[in-house]
Amino acid sequence: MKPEGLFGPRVLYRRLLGLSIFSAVVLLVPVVFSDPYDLELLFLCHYYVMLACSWDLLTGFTGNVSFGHAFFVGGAGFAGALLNLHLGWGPWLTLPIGGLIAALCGLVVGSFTLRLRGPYFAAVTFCFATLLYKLIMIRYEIFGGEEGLSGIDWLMETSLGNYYFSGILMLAAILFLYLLSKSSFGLILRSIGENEVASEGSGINTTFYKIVAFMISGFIAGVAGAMYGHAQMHVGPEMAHDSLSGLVIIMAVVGGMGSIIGPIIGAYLLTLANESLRFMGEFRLLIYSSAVVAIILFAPKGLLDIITRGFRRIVGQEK
Amino acid sequence: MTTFIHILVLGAIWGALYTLIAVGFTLIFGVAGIINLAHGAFYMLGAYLAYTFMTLLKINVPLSALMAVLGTAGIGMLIDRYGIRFMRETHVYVLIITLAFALFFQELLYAVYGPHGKAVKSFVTGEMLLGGVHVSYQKILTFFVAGIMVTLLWLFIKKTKTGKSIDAVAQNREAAVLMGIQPERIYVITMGISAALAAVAGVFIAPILEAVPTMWAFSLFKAFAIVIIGGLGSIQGAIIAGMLLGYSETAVSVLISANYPDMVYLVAIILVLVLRPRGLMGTRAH
Repeated sequence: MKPEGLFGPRVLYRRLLGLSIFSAVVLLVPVVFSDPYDLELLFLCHYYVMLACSWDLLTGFTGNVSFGHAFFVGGAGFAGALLNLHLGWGPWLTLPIGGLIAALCGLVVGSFTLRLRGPYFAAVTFCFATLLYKLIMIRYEIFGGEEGLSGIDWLMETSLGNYYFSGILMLAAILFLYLLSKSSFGLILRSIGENEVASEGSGINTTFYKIVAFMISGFIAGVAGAMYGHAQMHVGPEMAHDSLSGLVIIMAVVGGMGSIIGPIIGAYLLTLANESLRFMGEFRLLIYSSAVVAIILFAPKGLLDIITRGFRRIVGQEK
Repeated sequence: MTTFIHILVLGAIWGALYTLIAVGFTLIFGVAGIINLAHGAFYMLGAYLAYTFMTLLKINVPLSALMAVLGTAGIGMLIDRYGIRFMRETHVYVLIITLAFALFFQELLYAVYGPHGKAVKSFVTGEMLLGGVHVSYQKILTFFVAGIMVTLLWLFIKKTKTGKSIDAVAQNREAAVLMGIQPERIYVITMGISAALAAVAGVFIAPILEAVPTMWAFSLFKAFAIVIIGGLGSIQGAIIAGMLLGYSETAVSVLISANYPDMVYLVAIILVLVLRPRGLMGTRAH
């Protein structure tokens, strides 16, 4: 077989074909599973896919671990909810504005923290998310405190509408992130991840690219957060809690970081597994977290790596 | 005047406790270069093991405390040997596997002991009046134990052969290898010591605060904050920052409002990272 570059057209077309098959499946699923409960569950999958994939753009590609993805989700969720409750703006306005606010936060936070590396960046992103969480709790007269804000306009009238709305938004986000990762912008992010000093030495303003990646990541997470608020008709402080940031990280890592496809697998798998383990009662989260530890221990590069290696072995490309 | 003494006494006690948690966290970073997000889980395991031995199995206090600390140290060493060693160089991996372990212990303790707080009887009963402020003997004991543990750690590193090799690996790993030190062995020992220090804090806090399955997060954030303010890898920095945080949190909660002490460490981290990223006593550039 002829060697093929990472960005060769054949790989691109094959991946785009894969994405179209995935889109067709997403669009046709309601034909089989029309129960509102199933559709709500799949809506959650779409929401988590958007979060995990957007987290992956910064962390998986450049290696800067953000521990504060909930900062974007909660920030945009609450911004959207407040705009809706006080100014009466509908989802068509609050979703993009929530995303833009999150992107703006990404610009502000990123411009003075992305100079920091490794654990320092992780710590400062965590701090911003926790500050937001504390703010929601302390200024309960604005943010509703522990109860959050209720009575937000619905996204769509039915679960089916929510399903399609979130599904199409998710597919658009995936396509965008995928094309972005294959562009020269994606290449630069990867080169920062490989060796930041060498990238700087090649004349790349690494901080600029990291900030832009952080803003895009924030925008998608913000849109997802505002969408979630409208779909539940409620936003709560748990949207800004560090356990959400942790969950997003674990989803992306279990699936396989730095690949866009990996976090999709991780988000679907963990959301569905979490739900299907409900019959285990109080041991559900114990089994779930042990499984996560086991996957990270035995497949540190994620499930995608295992799947592709298995596939290559079957096809016979690898001895 | 009473307010001032109140801040002075309680600030010192909390500062000492924070310091005890943070020195282990900074030690393992300084030596092995890893951020151990399971550090808070070691503190939690110390508290829960103390509860198990003392309250459930009715073993006497010194023996229970010893077993809780050694048990946690053993768990820490196992995690380092089988969970971290083979991917130690990958920063992202270490952060995530230790986070996964912390969540695992949270769910394990939740499944075994339930969500409600588990109280342990005070080791020493009674309280004394310090300049008009009531302080329980348990808190005073915790203060002195923390001081003794940090001093012992310092003596261990400066005076014993193993301690000196830990210091050597922290200063220059390659040179240490050339002197015949096996770094992997040192990493496991350091993780054991680090876990033991967190467990001591957990054992002594168990009678003051109740043991709950989510207590790991609070202690981890505090340790993280102290270590960043003090400088990652610096033990002196952790002591200074730990005491500072103890005093400033107590001051804020007494003088302003009990809602705000948690804001102190968050704002402090952000300020330090923006103004002086390597911390007060930091050795490593960012």
